[in-house]
Amino acid sequence: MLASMRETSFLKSENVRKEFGNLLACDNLNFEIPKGAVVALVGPNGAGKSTWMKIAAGLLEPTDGTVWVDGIDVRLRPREVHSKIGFLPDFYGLYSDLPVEDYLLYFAQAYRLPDGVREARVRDVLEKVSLMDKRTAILGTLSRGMAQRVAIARTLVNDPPLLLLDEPSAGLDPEVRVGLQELFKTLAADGKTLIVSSHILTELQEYCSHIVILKKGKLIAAGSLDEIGKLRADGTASIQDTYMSLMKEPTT
Amino acid sequence: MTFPEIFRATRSDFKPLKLVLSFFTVQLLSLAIYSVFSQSPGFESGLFKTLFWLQIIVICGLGFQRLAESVSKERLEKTWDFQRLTPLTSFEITFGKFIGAPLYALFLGACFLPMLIFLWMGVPELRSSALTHYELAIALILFLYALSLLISSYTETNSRGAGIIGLFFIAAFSSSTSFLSKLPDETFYYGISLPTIHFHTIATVLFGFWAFFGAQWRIGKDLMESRKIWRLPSFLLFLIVYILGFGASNFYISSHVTSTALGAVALFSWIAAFANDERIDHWKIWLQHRKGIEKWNYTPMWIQSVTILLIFAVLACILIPEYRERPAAIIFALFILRDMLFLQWCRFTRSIRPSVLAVIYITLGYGIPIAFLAAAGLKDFFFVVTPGTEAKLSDLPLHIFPVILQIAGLIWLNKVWLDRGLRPAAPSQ
Repeated sequence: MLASMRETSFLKSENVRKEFGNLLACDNLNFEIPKGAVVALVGPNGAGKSTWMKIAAGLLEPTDGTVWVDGIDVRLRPREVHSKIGFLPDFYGLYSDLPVEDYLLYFAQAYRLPDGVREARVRDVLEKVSLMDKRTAILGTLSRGMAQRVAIARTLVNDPPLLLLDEPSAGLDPEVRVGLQELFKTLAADGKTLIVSSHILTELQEYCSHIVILKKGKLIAAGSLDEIGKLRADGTASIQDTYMSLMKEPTT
Repeated sequence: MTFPEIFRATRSDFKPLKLVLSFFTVQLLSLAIYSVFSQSPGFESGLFKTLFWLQIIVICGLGFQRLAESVSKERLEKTWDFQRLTPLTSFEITFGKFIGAPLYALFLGACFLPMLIFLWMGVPELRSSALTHYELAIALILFLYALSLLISSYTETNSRGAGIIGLFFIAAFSSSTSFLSKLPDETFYYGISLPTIHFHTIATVLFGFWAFFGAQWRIGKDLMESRKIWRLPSFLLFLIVYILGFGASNFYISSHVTSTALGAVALFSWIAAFANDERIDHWKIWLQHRKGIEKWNYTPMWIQSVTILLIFAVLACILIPEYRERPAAIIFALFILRDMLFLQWCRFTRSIRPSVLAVIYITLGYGIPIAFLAAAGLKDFFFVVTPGTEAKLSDLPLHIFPVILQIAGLIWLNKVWLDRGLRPAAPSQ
């Protein structure tokens, strides 16, 4: 491990361990993420990224350890953590028979937004993801890119300070991906903490300030891009270069 | 409290055109049936029954289908995780689904009411029997709706088949109404005389509540809510108290109802054990990573239910005079413990379908030795493989020895797998 984050942490992964039978998916993952950071969570397939994200989101029970979000233990108080996070998993899962606006109103109610606030909030997120003109469209009729934008709108509907985005641009065309990058930059500028898992390292470079690298369930590195880059022999802060050189090192 | 599921149901099902068409279709159907029946004199009673049954079929058939897929379909279509991510409590989700999922079925059922009310107002002799029918129907619908939701909450795949079970229950409802009509007006329960229909209505609603709590517990497990160990034992105690009431009076409880209660608790122990697939990961978290009340709440379901069964069996042998001479209750409970240990062993060995495998092996475990012993003319040795109901107190050591031996063997087998499973897992290669 090269470094752990030193700023005031907003999220803390504390000895997170997850076993599936004899398979160890997360091996005592310890790192901290400061408030307002945009974190690239990277690693090869099977590194434990999605598993860790599900644990952090309170969807999967860790075998041991826990994740703290804004000082709340996700294992013991998952309900409270849910109001602080927006999670975009690597699938859409939309109610195909509902119009876009009703779908978001449903979640606005589920997140306990007051009656008078819900509709304004839904309009606000629809504008943010540029879907205002599609608000009456039935979800089942939307293209993949639009469906992904609706899914992102859902993660924003409760205005959470932390967003967990698992492969947000997988399978999308370049134009939509560029649009998403711009959206993530806007969200980061709004002061939200973002943790983005992706295999497209060059894209992450565009908007990420920090990096967490996992390999075979172990933490390889965690820190700000500058911090990790400076510690490398070549002094580079490129996500791709840092990732490639660290991946060559044997996992201990 | 908030119930967004009801909002979703109204937005997807309650489109104005759909509602208007549904309403007028039902009215036309009612009028068509009316015109057929009105040819004969005194037709009102027959017409009322026909419309009543149509109403029940619509409410049950469609309602069960919607409830039976209310959770399982969400799991299948991967929308469930998004509900889990909201701050909604298990009660809010469960109640929202309980009301929201069958809402359209209830609306369709309500569309029959204008004609039914018209008949009810016009024919005074219908009034009393109609109220009885509705009392039972509402209780059974509540119970079966909760049961459908319970099945759905435990189903990982789509469970449209439960709709067919619903139709089966309509048949059961039909026979139960005729059965209840033959029962005496009063039922003796714990020696107290109670009106039969009201008693069974209340009992059905109470079982409905338990089914609802069961669904809420399972949904709460998905939400990672704190588990509550008291829920299953409380239900089993309720079941025991409920059944014993039928054979209890003046501080005497008959051994017949005690046997029924034992059988019912054993049956629910089986159902609870098979429905809760607690494999090595669960045991690892339970034994190695939970402390205090969390550890207590994590106790595998079959251990909870078999513990209640064993305590009840011991109490029955102490308190019920017939059982003092014939300790079949304890032997029976020990055989259930043996079966549960076998099921757990199947789960530890990571069989592809451990529950199915366990059912097959347990069935064979009873069946093959019985067939073998019967063929060899050794019927006196049935007690080795089945609970010896006729065993006397003096036979207890002989009867208890084989089952204890089997339990010890299975504990050892489970321990071997448990020790292996509790070792730290290795990283993926």
